[in-house]
Amino acid sequence: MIVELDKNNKELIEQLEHHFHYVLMDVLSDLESNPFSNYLLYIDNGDIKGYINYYLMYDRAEIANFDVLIEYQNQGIGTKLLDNLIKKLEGKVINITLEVRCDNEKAISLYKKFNFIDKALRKNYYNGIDGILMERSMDKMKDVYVLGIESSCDETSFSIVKNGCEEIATVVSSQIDIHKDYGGVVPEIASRAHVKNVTFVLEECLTKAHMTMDEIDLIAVSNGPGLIGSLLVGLESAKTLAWLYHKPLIPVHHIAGHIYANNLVKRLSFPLIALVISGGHTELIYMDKDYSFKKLGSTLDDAVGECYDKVGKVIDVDYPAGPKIDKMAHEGSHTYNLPMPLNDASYNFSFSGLKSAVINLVHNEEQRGKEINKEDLACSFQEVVVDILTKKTLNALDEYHVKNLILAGGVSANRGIRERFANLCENKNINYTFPEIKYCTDNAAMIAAAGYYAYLDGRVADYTLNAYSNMELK
Amino acid sequence: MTIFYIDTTSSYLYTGIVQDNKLLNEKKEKLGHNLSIYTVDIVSKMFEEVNLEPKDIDKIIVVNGPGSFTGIRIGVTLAKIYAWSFKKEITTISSLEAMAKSVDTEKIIVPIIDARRNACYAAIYHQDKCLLEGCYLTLEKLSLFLKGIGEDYLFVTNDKFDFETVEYNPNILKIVNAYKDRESFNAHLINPLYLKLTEAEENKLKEEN
Repeated sequence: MIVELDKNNKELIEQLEHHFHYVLMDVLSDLESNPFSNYLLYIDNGDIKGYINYYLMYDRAEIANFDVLIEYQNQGIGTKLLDNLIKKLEGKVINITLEVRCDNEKAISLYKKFNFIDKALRKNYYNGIDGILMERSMDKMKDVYVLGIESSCDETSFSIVKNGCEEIATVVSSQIDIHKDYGGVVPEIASRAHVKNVTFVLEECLTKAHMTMDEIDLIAVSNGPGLIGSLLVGLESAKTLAWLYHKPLIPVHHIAGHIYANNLVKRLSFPLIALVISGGHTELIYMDKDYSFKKLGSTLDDAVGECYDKVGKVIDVDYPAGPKIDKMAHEGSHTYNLPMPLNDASYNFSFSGLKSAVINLVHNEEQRGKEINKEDLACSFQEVVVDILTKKTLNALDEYHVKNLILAGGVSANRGIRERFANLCENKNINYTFPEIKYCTDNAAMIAAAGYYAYLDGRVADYTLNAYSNMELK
Repeated sequence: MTIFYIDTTSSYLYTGIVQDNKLLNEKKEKLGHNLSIYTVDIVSKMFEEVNLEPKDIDKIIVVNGPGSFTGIRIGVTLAKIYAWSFKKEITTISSLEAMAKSVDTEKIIVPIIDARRNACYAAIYHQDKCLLEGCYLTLEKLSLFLKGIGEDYLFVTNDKFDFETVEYNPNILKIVNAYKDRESFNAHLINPLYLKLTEAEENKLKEEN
């Protein structure tokens, strides 16, 4: 049996340290301090008989140590380990390199069998003995096609994305017309519609892509946060497909998906700050590399999109109110005085106070027999929203010395918000990306894009994966 | 002929593989809220245990309700994706049909599922005759129906009621044999049988009337 060493497996770590004299380092501290270091173990009846310690650094790998216990040599264990490693790294790295003593003929012949070639001689590398640098170039990085599945709210969506950045085909079936009659999304109705749609949408997506399920490499699914009944339909579809076609199953956090919608526009540059704004979320997130998220702050009550919908109700604008208020705001002017909500040094937001302020203002004006100018109110409201969003985001960019900003989520389609951020970023020399308008709302392309990077980060799930209505972005 | 059977409409997962009139493997597990976690996992292991690949089956029988809305969707989604993927024949049976088939009795059989608020999903069968199609009704209404029939009857259920019932333990081989020739549908058209509108829809109807 060949397995990757898990840093929590104390027993195996101890065995490795005691039985192999080439392991000079403390294995545990190596695993904990060096994120690139991995150990591939050959285990028989609970005993480690051989291992490879290799460094996986982005698109390159290096074999640091490779040993088979003397009493088990010449049994093909080394061959099996190396074969396993190469297969594991196929399509993930450009090359594998290593150094070997020039007098270690057995090892050299094994490497040559696996198409390693001499690259350079390092004089006296091993206490007077020369070292040979060998390299095995790997086949061109294989293209990875990810099938993304999104059903966390009221859109059933499937998408195929190549290598995390190139969209091949996306189908979104929106239920907005059904839920409009109820003034918002009804969870049970949404779940029912997902089951009805699921195979139609999947089939249409594959047809559009001119692909079959066999050509898909990974299945990525949004498993939270969202409406649990809705999420479960996508999750069950993903798990079933992963089982039927023997494909890796990758869970994707819905917000990670929104962030990676930007990767379909332009490759993300790090470190970055992401402002996620939608009907369910308002969050500031810091990322120093792919699929690594640090939440700086979030809304303490209503999400910004929710606030738009609630304000919409007060001024008789139909659900979903965001796009309409945005349009009205461009036709009005900032005449009403509204308070800046949670105007403090934190990265948290609060929009319920602003909503109440709008409601009070409308009531007061009505009581005084004055007619509200809805366009002006929309404009005043949106100005305050944009003020607080830009203020906290710019503070975060400043404090974390970040030069890259992305917007994500349904509300990032808002013209007023985009215009102001674009202006500010240009003035301050900050690189910014907004998702394409069609990928601001929920879609599976963003899930597939994020799924590719989640996979590179090793986040493969088994069939007991569950969905969660609330879930931390980690 | 190899048939895959799945029922997730209650708090149990009932699944099995029947080949040429023989039950190859089955799983009956009380999972409750964990149905969404374990269903695919248990089904995949059930296939592995008998060295079958998902491609090896000829037909799928999925129980599509009534019962727990969320539960129903788990089995129906799995079955639908499965049938669509490998172009397998697929047919549905109701949970009430499955329950009625699993008891041997001369009495009138009443499969019944608790629908809360003094209501239930139920059907009435005698021998192989259906006297009342599966429907959503109050317990009061059901008892009126039964009084009209006025014979000795047997309630089959997984739920607790304050009258005498027998516990439902599906005879998967018998159920599959009884329904294996039922007409197949296009996988796209396989849908849950809720027998009840959502509350939002009911309220809207009330308003409109």
